[in-house]
Amino acid sequence: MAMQLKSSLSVAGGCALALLLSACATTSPESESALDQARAAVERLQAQPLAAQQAGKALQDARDALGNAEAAERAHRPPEEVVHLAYLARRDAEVGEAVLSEAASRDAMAQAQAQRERVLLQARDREAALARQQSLQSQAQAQQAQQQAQDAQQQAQDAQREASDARQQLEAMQAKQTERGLILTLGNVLFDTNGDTLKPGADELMSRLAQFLSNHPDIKARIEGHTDSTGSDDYNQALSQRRADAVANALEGRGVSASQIQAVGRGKSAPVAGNDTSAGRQQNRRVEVIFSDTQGQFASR
Amino acid sequence: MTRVGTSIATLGVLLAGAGCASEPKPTAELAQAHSLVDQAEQSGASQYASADLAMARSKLQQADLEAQRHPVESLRSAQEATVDARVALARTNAATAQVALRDVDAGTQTLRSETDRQSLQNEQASPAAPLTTQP
Repeated sequence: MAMQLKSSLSVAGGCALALLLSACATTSPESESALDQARAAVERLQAQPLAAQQAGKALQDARDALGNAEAAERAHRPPEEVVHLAYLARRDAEVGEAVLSEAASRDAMAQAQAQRERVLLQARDREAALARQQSLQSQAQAQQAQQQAQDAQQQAQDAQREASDARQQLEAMQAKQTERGLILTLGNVLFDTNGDTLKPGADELMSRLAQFLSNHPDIKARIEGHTDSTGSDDYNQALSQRRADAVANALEGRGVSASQIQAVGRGKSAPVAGNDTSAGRQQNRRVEVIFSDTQGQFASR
Repeated sequence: MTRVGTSIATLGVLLAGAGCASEPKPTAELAQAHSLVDQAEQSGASQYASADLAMARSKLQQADLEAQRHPVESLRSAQEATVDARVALARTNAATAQVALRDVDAGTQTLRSETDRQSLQNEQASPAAPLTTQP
């Protein structure tokens, strides 16, 4: 029991001594914790591959400060001094981290600006290409319009020339311009008396007429048979129809399209002279070929 | 007798308070801390590193208060204010660099989508030769 008391006393004495010396001699939890934080921060910084290159000063400051803090710890300096020095080391390392972050952003900035330049350049290229394309298109359109105008002019000239040629050719065949259009009158002499057969003397005229109609497929021909007033209406109507048909057949036989011609018997209904004289009746017995214009239209009567 | 007693008492207070009354006022460290805190403020640290700046200010104030009577504590506060201001400055610089980078990237993105939209319209209006796309 006495031994125990003595031992307790000596422990108490030891504690008192330790307390007396504690300012210098023991490791406090605060300084351990601060040192750990500082070491971790410095290790984190120096683990960055670019730390030495881009944050060399901060890294060096942090290492030096950590060295000071550890030296103070080893020298049993007061905890507040160790904590202070460790704090400086940790904050120096944090400066280094921020410097690295800034450097990374600046590197990325150089790339971002280069990228922006490329996009700008691309936009300008596109605009230039578009302008070239639009210019080519408008040139092509202008050429096309010019060509169309030329074609239209050419067509108008062709149509005019065709109409003019047709008129000249018909006039060469003794066709006459009347209010019903151009009319070619085939006289009585081309048929036998009271007959409906074309005489051989009509061959040349039929051939020229057929050639003309074949050359001008747009022009239609109406073939009208006429008689004098001698004889019954029925007889004259039938005779005029047969004579008109004979002319139409002669033309078709020479290659003229049936759709281009139309045969009509008009009997004695449309005399061109009096029927009271032989000469007048002679004029009334006839076949007329009436021509349309180049659009197939007949002059209105 | 009274004067001597007072002097001894004053000396005792100084010794107890400062630990080492022989230390001079840390003029250079205080000046450096003021300079760096000013610098951090001017660089915009109140926007990008307000916590670090607040710590630096608070410690600088402490250092100024202790300058005469507790030079050791004043020195430490000044040194910590300085390093806090350095952190504030570095973090502000990092943040502004990042903001600038984002601005450029956003501008490029806008430009690209504008260009794409235009060329899409043009291709619809009249098929154009395909252009190389950026990686």
